[in-house]
Order: sequence, then structure tokens, then C-alpha cells
Amino acid sequence: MLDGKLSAPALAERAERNARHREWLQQIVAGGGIRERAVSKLFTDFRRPVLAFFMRHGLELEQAEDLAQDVFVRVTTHAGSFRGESLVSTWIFQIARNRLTDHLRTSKPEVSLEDDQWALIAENVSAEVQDNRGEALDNCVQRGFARFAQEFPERAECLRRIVFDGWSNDDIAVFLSRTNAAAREFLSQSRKKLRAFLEPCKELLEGSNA
Amino acid sequence: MNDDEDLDTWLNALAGRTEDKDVPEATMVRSTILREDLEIQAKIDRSAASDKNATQRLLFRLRRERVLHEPFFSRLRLPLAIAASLIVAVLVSFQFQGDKDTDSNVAYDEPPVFRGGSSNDIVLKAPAPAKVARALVAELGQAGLTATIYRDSDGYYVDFDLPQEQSIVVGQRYFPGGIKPRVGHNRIIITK
Repeated sequence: MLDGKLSAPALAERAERNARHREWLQQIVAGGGIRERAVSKLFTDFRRPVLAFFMRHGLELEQAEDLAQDVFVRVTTHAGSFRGESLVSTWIFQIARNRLTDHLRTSKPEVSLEDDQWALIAENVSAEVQDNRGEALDNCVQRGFARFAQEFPERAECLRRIVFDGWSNDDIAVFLSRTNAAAREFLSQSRKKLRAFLEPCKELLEGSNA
Repeated sequence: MNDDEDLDTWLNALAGRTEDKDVPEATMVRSTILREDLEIQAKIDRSAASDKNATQRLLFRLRRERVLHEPFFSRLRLPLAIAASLIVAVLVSFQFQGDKDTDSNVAYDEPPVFRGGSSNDIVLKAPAPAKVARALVAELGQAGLTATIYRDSDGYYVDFDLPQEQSIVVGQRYFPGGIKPRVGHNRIIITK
């Protein structure tokens, strides 16, 4: 499984961070004067990743700030419902995901580039860098991933969480509110779909690996 | 390698747990994601409110929505609760009599959040924050500036704007705590 190859220091660091987050959640539940301090610490630790999460989904910074505040109001009111079956980060991002879904449901979709505009950008970029294979490969993967993320924002977000926080299959399952088997299938399908977007980079990739 | 193992290898490379040369695609996607994040973090650094201001805003909202409110009486038996409420009522009435003047010019709303981190925050330590806040507001008033006082559990906040045209006049005055207002928005945080 995904967790199997985590190095011992990385595992220890993740466990230590999660223990700290759990302690703050417990302090929020316990109440008293320490509660505000615990909310502040948790918020300071997660604010930027949560802001980035919303901004990656097309929100402006001000909207992202407002939604991040909503997320932490909910974290504070529902701290007692955290059962410790996942990482605290997974639980918080699950709340952020739900808040984003609500927001998108009630607001107009963001302006997005049409396919032909994307193609135009792609052509311009490849013309600029065609004499530099490394740079061309970077740009090709970047464009491919951007299009994939535009088409499948949730799949892209799961891949990002694996990169940033080393989320396991179980964490992805909690985030998506699915079973572990369904989450694994989701990841497998995500890879397949991403590959279709990276198809134009295949030649460059093979060249870089040769 | 079967499909399952293949997926694990790919995911592990994506997570940066292996540097498997057989999965350059995952390694490239990982680099792309990290680069994309750097760009977003830079944007946040440039434009977002400071962590302190954002935390302050959250705490005010939690207090206003009474999320941080302690269900104090729920922990007491009824007779004890009644007795406690009587004592509190008497104490509060005395407190209000004593503090009537002290807080008359305090806006109890939460201090506004200044996005963009452009506020000049100055922290003053004083044994009597309320007194210093009032003295500061009076001094600013004499310099022709309008200031607003806010208060929360951390202390007192004095907010005011200093227009460019008044900066020279204001710069020649002495303010409590030796503070030096800057052109633009200023927030003086006075704590014990």
C-alpha cells in the first residue's frame, strides 16, 4: 500500500505533527481559556494550505480567506466529532472540500479558458521552448496537468495531497467520503485520465529517460 | 509488475518516497505540482492578510457567533446557578458603575481586518491600556486625526488613518509610548 514505503523519519514527523493537531482539537473540545489559543494554533498551521486549496479551485484570495474562516468556524464547532480515524489534516480538508462544493453550488462558475484558447497557449509555449528539451518537457507536463486539473479538479487535488502531505489511500478515502477500495479505484482512474493529458509529452519523457 | 504494484510504485514516486527511474512521469507531475504550489504561496505572500490579522478576525467571529462561549451554568445545579447569577449581577452592576467613563468611547465591534497587510501595527505595553488608548486618541484628535478604539480580551486597539498632507504636522508631535504614525493606516495595539 501507499504507506508501506514511508521512511521512518517521515512517518515519525507526520505522526508528531498529527499528535500536535489532535492535542489542539482536544483543547478546543475541553474549553476554558486554552481554547482560543488552540484555535489560533490550528488555524495558523492550516490557513495557508487551505487558502491555496481554494485558490487552486479558481477562487480569488479574498473569497478564499472568507471560506477559510468558514472552515475554521466549523472545525471549532465540530472538533468534538473528530474521531481520530484519520489525520487531522484529512478531516480539515474534507471540511474545506464540502465548503467549496457548497460555494460552487451557489455561485456562478468562474470564467475559464475554452479549449481553443488552451491550444493557442500550448502552441505559443512549445514554439518558445522547442530548442530546449528539458524546459519543453516541464512546460508540456505543466500544461497537461493544468488541463487535467481544470477538467478533473477533485482528482488533481487528491494527487496534490499525496505530493504535499503524503496522504495514503485511507486518507484519500476519508477526504472523498468513499470506501478504501473505491478510493483506490479513483486513484487508478485518475492516473489513467492524467496520462491522456500527458500524451503529448510522451516523446519528450522517453527522450529524457533515455 | 501487475497493475496494483504498478499503481503503488507510481503513487510512491508521486509522494516523493522513491526516485524510481521507471516512473519519470510521476516524478515530473510531482515537480509540476510543487512548482504550482510555489506560485500560489508567492501570491498569498504578496497579497494576503498576515496570519495574525486573519487569526484575529477568526477569533472575533467565533466570539460574535458565541462559538467560544462556555455553557457555564449548564455545569451547575440549579440552586447554585441561581446563587451564582445573583452574585454576578451584583458584581457586574458595581463594575459598570466604576467603568462607565472608561469604556464610553470604545467601539465593541470587532476591529476591522485590513487586507493586504498594509496596516502599520505597533504594539505598546502599558499597565493601564484603557488610559493610554484614551490619551492617544485625545492626542491624535488634537493633531486633527480621528481614531477609533476597539477592545478585545488581548487589549485595546486604536485605529486611525494618517493622510500624507498631515504627516509633517503629526510627525512633530509626541505621542504616548513614543509611537511614530506612518502615512496610511495605523493600528496601535495596547496590551498589559
